[in-house]
Amino acid sequence: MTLPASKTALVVEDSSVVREFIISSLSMLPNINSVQAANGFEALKALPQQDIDIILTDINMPVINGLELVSFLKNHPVYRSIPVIIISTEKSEADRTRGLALGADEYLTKPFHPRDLQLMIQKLLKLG
Amino acid sequence: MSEKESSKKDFLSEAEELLEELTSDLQNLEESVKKNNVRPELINKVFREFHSLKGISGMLGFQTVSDFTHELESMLDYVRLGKLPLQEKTVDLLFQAIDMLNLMLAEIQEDSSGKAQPEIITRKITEIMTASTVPVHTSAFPELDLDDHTISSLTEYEEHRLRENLRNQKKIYNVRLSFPHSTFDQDLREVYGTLSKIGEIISTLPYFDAALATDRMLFRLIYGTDQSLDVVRQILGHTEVEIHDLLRDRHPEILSGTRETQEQVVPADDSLRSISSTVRVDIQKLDEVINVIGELVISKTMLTNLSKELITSGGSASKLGPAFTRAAAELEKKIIDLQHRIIETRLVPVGQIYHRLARMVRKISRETGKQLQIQFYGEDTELDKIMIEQISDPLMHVIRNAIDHGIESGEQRRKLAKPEQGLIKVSAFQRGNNVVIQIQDDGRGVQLQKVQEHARKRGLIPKDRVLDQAESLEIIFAPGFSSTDQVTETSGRGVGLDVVKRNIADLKGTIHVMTEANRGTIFEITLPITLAIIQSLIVGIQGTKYAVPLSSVSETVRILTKDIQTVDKKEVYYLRNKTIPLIRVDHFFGFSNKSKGEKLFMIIVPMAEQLFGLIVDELSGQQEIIIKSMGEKLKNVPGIAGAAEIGEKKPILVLDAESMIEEVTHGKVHGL
Repeated sequence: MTLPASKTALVVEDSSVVREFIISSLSMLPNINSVQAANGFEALKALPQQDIDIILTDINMPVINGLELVSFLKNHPVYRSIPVIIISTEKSEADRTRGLALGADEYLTKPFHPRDLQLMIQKLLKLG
Repeated sequence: MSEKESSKKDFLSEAEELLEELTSDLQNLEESVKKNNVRPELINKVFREFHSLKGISGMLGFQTVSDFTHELESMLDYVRLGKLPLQEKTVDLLFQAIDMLNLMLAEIQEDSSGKAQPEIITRKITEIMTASTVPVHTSAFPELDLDDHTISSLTEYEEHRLRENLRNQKKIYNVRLSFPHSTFDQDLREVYGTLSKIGEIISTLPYFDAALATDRMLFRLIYGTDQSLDVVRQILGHTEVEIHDLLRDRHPEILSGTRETQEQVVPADDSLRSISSTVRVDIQKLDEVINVIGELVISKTMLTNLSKELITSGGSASKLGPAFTRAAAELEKKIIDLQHRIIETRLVPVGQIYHRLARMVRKISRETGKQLQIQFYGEDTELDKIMIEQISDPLMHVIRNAIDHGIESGEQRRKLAKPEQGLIKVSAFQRGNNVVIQIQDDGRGVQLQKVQEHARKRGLIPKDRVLDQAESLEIIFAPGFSSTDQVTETSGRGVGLDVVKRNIADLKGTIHVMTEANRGTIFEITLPITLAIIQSLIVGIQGTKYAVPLSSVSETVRILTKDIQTVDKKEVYYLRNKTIPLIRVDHFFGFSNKSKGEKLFMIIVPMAEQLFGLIVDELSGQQEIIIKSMGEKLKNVPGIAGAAEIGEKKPILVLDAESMIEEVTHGKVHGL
């Protein structure tokens, strides 16, 4: 029997409290490591440094917002295949539509239950 | 710590940081609303801060905070999207909301509830939001050379900002930047700083172009500005940059067409709606009114003097004298009334700064791990607005000092059978013409022995000198006593008690310490209620008149020259079994000849739990005066607080009793 290879998630969120919440939700899944970025900048810096299997991003962030990040990712020859989940509040209905139009794979509304996030990730990464 | 407790701690910590950030942003916003040059970036920042606050409170299950910030976020979303005008009352409401949030956080911290009632503010938000409008527009930008993909990467807010820039006839540029991958964040921040000064960065889009380079990070900014292409190019200097104008031909018809649709969204009767019963007044204007009142007081004094002359003149008009006196007395009453009313408009409750102090204590408590409780009393005590603003820093420092040096660690407190939670009590109350603010802790007390050792080490007193309790408590305020090397993160900022004392002295106030080993310490700050008008005692010294602020004086005693004794070559007077060191004001200022009178007056000035006596030749009554500064050059003359006018354009110097005493006792410490 072979163990499934471990996967790495990049969590982009400017609030450390929410970031911690997301990471602790992820930690309940087997074989998932997390890398964190406090804003779009850090995400851009973190991307080339390791293989990222899934990206979770907020929308409302200073300078480079989540939509701009998604747009960058989905137009990049290498990164375009990485699944992206936008995690934002219910406020921005217009932004949700745009995010999905730009190629984001899923949209999760804050506040959310850890189980919803876990199911979404299992589906996108085709984990058992 | 349970997981719930720890997530509560994280929440409070981040929420408090956000609130502090918000407070300072709102202050800037308030300023810019007044000057009518609000930067949209600032509104967006405030929106994002409320948004984050809502995010974290929702995630961690603090439902009431989440619901409340949701309302605030919605309102600011409307403001930043131009659906709601930003008015002063909106900013006022936001300030109230911050106070409310602080209260809510305090309740979470203490696991209490019931005090915070956000509904009051929520109702007002709903009221304000009824004035909102929905702008009519499509999301296309026919006038711009922009591809659909770029447009769809804009958030709703960015789209709105782009539209606003177009509406304001700005030029819209596409700025392409290329930075090395290793330093791009630094580089982009620099460009941001430069460009923000002369325009607005509407969107920042990172992008990839394999044809260019793979080790570089590329960005495309959409930038709105008044400046020409050349100016922008020049200001960016050496940065690898490519700029082009995104505006196709400027068609005036199209632009004016857009304008019309936009103008419909601004409610026409908007200015009529914002009528409220309060008026904001620049405190400077109140100062001017007080100056005029001061001159009225002088004119009244002249009238009173004239009426006396009239009575004693014996002429035919002398029978009008009493009526004249009554009229003058009537006028005086009205002037005093006017004075009090104006002073009242400047007074605000001390409670305004209590929130800030509570927040600071919570923060320190978390940082130091010391369990602390802060209690407030007398929050309705009123002080001059200017004083409130200037006293908050010194108060914070005294409290920091109490926590750092007074309150013991939890372990020590357990051993001493004290409650593990340290207690800080802040009380404010009025005493005569003064407001007293006491900061009391239940810590170890000022350790006199340690203070002396430290003072010796710092070279403030000679090695063999032993200080008594009063002197030890005085020396902690000496410049150079608090050293930067022993300053903890909490006491921080390299500010010592000497600075606290100076700041308080600038407000014509004083600070005293009382302490008891293992029971705690009380710092007592005494401030005049207002700096604007003060009661003073008019004294005569060798034929010249001076004023002494009554707030410095506890009593006056008539004494005989022969009763003055000399101890240790210093003049003292024994009053009710107390030895009172004397300061002859004429000597202090270097008058050569000694007062020759047999009878003198002693003005008793209490300071640092001791009484001092200022010797003057005569007393000539009390008067209200307005202290004027002596100008930059004479500002720091010891013993002189300023100048005032007392009738008929007669200038008079105002003595600063505390600084005279300090000057003399300071000399004593050094001159041994």
